[in-house]
Amino acid sequence: MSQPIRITLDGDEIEVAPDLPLTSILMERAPGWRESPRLQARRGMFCGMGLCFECVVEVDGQWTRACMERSRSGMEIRTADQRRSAGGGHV
Amino acid sequence: MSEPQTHFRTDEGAVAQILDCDIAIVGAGPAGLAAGEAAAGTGARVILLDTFAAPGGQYSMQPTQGDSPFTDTPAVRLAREATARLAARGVQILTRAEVFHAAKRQDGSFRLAVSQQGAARVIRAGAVIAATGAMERPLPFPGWTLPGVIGAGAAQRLLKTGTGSLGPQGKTVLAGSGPFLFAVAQTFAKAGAPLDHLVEMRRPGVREALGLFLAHPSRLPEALRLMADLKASRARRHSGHMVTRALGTTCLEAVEIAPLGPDGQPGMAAARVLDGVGTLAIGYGFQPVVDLTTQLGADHGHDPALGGFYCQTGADGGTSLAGLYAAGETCGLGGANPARLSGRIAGLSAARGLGFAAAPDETAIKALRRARDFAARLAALWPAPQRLPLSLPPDELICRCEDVRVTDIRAAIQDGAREAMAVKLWTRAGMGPCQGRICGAGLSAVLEEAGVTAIAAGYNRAHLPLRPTPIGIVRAAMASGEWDI
Amino acid sequence: MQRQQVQPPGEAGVIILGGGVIGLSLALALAEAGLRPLLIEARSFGGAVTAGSLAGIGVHMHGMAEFHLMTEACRLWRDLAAKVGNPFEYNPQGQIGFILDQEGMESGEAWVAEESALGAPCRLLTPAQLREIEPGLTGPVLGATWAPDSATVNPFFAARTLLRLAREAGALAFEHCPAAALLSQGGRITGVRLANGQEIRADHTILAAGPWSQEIAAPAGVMVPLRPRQAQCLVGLRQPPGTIRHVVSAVERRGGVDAGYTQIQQSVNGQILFNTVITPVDSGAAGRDRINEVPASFVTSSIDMLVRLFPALADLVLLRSWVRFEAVSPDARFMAGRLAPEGLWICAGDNGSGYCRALMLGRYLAGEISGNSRAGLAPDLVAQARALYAPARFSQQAA
Repeated sequence: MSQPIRITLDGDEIEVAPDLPLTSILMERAPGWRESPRLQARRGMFCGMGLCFECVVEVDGQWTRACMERSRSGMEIRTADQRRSAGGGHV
Repeated sequence: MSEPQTHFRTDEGAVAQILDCDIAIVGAGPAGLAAGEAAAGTGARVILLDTFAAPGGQYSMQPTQGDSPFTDTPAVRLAREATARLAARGVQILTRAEVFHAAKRQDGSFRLAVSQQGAARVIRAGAVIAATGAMERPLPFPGWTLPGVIGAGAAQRLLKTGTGSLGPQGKTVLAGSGPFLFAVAQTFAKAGAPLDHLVEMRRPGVREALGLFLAHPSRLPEALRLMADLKASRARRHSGHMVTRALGTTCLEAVEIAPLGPDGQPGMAAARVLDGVGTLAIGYGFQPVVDLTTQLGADHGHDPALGGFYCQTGADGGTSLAGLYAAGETCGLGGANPARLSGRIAGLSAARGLGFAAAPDETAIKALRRARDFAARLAALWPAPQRLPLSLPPDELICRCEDVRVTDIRAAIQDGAREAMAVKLWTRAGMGPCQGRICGAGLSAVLEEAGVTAIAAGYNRAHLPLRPTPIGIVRAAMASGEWDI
Repeated sequence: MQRQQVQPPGEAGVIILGGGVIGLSLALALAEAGLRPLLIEARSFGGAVTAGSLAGIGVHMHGMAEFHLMTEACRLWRDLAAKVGNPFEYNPQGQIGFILDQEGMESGEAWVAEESALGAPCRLLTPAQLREIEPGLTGPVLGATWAPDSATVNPFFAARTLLRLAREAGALAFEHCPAAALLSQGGRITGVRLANGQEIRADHTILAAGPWSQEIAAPAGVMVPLRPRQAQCLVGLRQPPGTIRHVVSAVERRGGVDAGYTQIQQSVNGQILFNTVITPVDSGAAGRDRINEVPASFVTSSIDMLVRLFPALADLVLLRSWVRFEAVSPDARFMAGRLAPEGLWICAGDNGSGYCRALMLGRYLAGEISGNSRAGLAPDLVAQARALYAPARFSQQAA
């Protein structure tokens, strides 16, 4: 196993393996990290292959599918939880 | 007023890199890899593109972690070795590269606009091979949008490319229909991840299985291995059952299953609840990914056994659009073997079409026929459900992107929407980020309820952008001067 | 709801060819006038030009000649929304006409002066005032016009509502039912033959098929001088509500039929719709039936203008695009009224802004066809409509 790296997830610094799909990291915490637009229902990874856009997060400010992105040292991930506490924005 | 509009640019510096090739292959799964090898072998300059971080597609997806038990499986090795051979032949492999626009120009050549990790590329190609593969064909059921309910393919991807665990606490249930469930169960076993329940709609009888393997005896060992691994997973097997509800408040907590009666409907009197479930991986089959081929305007057919709408090809892999070829599951479901063979055939044909010396591979053509026969027989043992297997409560969602309920869809049909496009316009189902890929099967099933067949309902043809793409990248690609000619 | 008939009847009061917003509005008005309309749509209701509309409802920058008719057209939409509980997202959000240069300033001042003189609530905004009304518009504008009474509707939901209301009022409507030819007898149009061979008789037949009207009419010897013009739109991913608060459009060059234009707005579900056309191009008749892709130059000009005006949207993710075809008449006004053969009428020539006029034109023709003034517009408006929309104004060219 390679050296763990540090990333920021919703403001918390955590240690993870490098090059890990972000869905792996997020599922570990809780399977729902997004909110649906109209009903504000909890959502999380569904198709896992880049087509359903249910797993979207912000990575370094960019709208990103968690299933298509991998952990890199220093990356900053924001999910709907942090955005809600920060006062808004849809993912 | 029109004058000043021409005098500025969003970002003058952002210009797409132009890449030239003879043949561009979209998708680096078994079909794309085989196509690349065949085409490059004729001397054609090949660019191979894939959305993911490594070639392999779904079948040969590459682990990310060095200590993964999947590092050396035959499928993984296959893609790794093919990739090495392609690189040695000078094939340019672009990973994390998503095609978001494609056009055929009047001179017969093609252009692909590609978004690759924050940069725009435009590929010039004499011919294009669409090897875009297949995706889950999800059927909605009560509770299917709860976090923790994931596609069977998603579970497999997570196990193979992650740390070997699905994440959520609690039991794991694998459910749905078709032989792919066994492959996923095998992945659980290999990853050492616990699988508690396997819920399958149909378990083919011994006689049916016997018929299949008498016709294709070479496939028997693989099947026996799958069955042995399934047993080793120690999952409790519920044959002839289906998931009737996923239960939970903010995420999945339990799964209700019920036995199917002779009419194919679940017998709710005998339904029971599996408690303490953290993950439900569910798969009712796959559908071809046809956004690239529909955008380019190739002809498509519909066959439930092939996963619904598929790109039509001739024996040489050519589509109705000259210079556009399709291989693998873009042309209909069938698995890795037909994919490899059709990839090889399309790769040779595309090269031959551009004047490279490439004789048709008669052996591959014959083998493809046989591989497709096996796939068709296999598919016949597990016919993919076309209708909603159980009636949905009115509030259940069909379109997850826009939160469109089944009652909204039914009301639109009642008001006179008689095709997929009309339902989309009148309900917003399919107007969100997935662009109808995820809700398509559910929508088509609700139209079926109203007597509109899938063929009459039609498909929504893809347009720019094939996948959501940042406008800066779109601009850089479209400003390249390679389009509108 | 009553079940729809499966087959069109052999006879109707009025046949309407084309189930876009114009045909649907006609069906509603004619049904309310008791004229037994039968609507025939080749594909899906509201699925072609109507589906590609941004459905702006307003009088601003449409010219003085039509001002009163447009005011009535807007009132009809507002009243309909109120009457049926607004199922089509009628949104009186107001419209901004941004001004980027001195020529634009002169145009904006002239529009505002003329419209205000006629009683419209529009006015000029300084950049500071604009900032208050549209905070995200931080681009280098010299000022803007502001028409607080302009609205939008959801083009799909409005079409669906009109269809429902028309049917409830007694109209028959059939989709996937293409017409093959007009029927004529003794120089009079007496109905249509469908592609499946069925013939339907009616005293009146209305061409409401937008850019397709020409080819339906031509075999009967009727020339309709409409040409198809391609229009298109880009859609960005859902943004927080209020990212764009109003319809944002370029102040139009005055008198320019084929001038460039910009329209940017946020839909009710949060998506950003935007388009900037620098030079509109004719598509040729064939283009209209192909499923085209947006032109590359349009994509770049639309993105550039969006980002120039709303720099905060530079990271917007593009989600969809579409192309549609507008029916353009030689003087950029509708053709609404009688055509030369008896029994044949037309209501087409949207020039890209048919949505706003649809209910008004439906009323107008219902009055003209029925001869019942209560079914139609007020007498002074009827006179204006006749003067402006009469198809006979092109009869010289048509002959």
